Amino acid sequence: MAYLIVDEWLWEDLSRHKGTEKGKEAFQFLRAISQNSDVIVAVKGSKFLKKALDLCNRPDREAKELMSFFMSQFFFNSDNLLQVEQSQLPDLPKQFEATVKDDDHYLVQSYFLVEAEVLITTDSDLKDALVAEGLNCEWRDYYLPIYIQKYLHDDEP
Amino acid sequence: MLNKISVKNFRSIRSADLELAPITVFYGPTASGKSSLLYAPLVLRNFVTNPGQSVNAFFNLGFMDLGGFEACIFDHSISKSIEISLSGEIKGEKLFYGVSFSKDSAVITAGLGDFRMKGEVPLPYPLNQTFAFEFSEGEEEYTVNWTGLASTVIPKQASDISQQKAQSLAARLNQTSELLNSLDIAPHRRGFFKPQYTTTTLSTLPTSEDEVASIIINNQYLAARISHYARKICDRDFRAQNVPGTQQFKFQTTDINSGIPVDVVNDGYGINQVMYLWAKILRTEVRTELIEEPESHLHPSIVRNFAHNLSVLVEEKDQEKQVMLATHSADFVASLLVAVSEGILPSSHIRCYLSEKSGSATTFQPQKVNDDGQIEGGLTAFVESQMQDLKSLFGIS
Repeated sequence: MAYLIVDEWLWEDLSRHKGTEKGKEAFQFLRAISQNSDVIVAVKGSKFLKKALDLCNRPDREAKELMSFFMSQFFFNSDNLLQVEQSQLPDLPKQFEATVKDDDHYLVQSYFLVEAEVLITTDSDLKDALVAEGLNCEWRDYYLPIYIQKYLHDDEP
Repeated sequence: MLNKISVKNFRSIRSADLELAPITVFYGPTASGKSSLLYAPLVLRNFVTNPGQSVNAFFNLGFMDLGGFEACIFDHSISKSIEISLSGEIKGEKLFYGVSFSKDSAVITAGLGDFRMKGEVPLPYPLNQTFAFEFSEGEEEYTVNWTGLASTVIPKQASDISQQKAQSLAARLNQTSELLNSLDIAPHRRGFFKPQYTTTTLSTLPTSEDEVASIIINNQYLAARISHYARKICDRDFRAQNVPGTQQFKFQTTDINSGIPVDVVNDGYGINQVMYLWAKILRTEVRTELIEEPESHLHPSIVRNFAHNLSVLVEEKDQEKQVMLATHSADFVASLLVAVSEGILPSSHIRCYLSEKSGSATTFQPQKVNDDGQIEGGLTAFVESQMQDLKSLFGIS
């Protein structure tokens, strides 16, 4: 079991704002996490969950089904999602104060809280700042196909 | 409160030993055995209420006749026996009562703490047998004479004090029937379908609209208590009013936003359901309410309020209420989980079971709830259909 830190690209992709292929890959990624019993870390009140709420508020059936899937399979599932209160987060190490945007601090803080396996992002500034300090941060486009290939068994429901 | 149920060879349940909580939730596919789990304690209750019936009569629940012993025994194998037992606690006393039903006899077991009594009786059982047991507490010794339902206690050394203690012991032992008699069910078929009601005689398990109406009419506080919860759940005031010059009563709801009163039969069907269900739940004599699909006919926002208020109710110390429910609603379960995350319902006060069929037998998989209101394995049982839709949406075969 590994802790994965994911930022808001997940919601953009699931919404198919960046095309159906990205949407499909994000959905397969979630299924692979579920099958591999890995854990997404979600900080309450964070930008990540606020974006999820935006999708929740969309009136179309597709968004409802996506959110129903995410809530049932992840948000209410102690096997696949760790809910973290802001108060549980450790202080941000000083070396990240200048290089990581304020509203991304929670990603770095949660990385340290759970000793995460990886932080997956589409933000090049964030990636550069983390990699420079020796953290394991991967591009979304690089990491997802490898993870899906390794862990998704499509014969399972 | 009941804290354990064991069922063997009843309908699709080959064997189930389940821990219970103030709120116990069963979910899973249609026809996976959820309702059977709710009906089993009612069979036991029927036996305690009137053991002098044929074995088939115990399987007639009033609102539904399950078709007798042979229809209900697992795999229709009549050489087996149907075993149903409940453990629970009343006023700090640990109680146990169980019956193993065969075609023409029953083995009854009852207990108080570690003390157990067991006896076999013919069916129908006209309560004409007595089983004697030795019981000691401290230095006092007693003989317990037990009919299978009720106990009388005789001290070995007669004195005023030992007689008093013997009476007290008998009262404690006889609480087992209280454990069962405080069970009630709100079945699928429910609601108020008439504009007016008169009081009627109650059966041992009152579920008809006339009976539930009588319960409301005969309890001067019940309508107000239903109203208290109805306001929070669906913005309705609820009143039972006597029709002047008659013995008849009408039930009215008032939308607290518009102020317009209507007979409950003319309000929405979901509102009607809420009133019926809360009359059953709040009934004074009831400690444990069994509910089939509380979400039926309710909008998700009302489902949420219902689950939230149920969580509040079971935590009210003076109420001593417990609920066991079978549901197909992810919203209902999610709302209970949110109540846990909000600290309204302690995680130890809810137990969730995923009911599934394995071959012809039902299994109940416990799913632990944590303090964040998350559940082991998630609510995957509810999203199988969405999963198919989403796969299709993303072009996944």
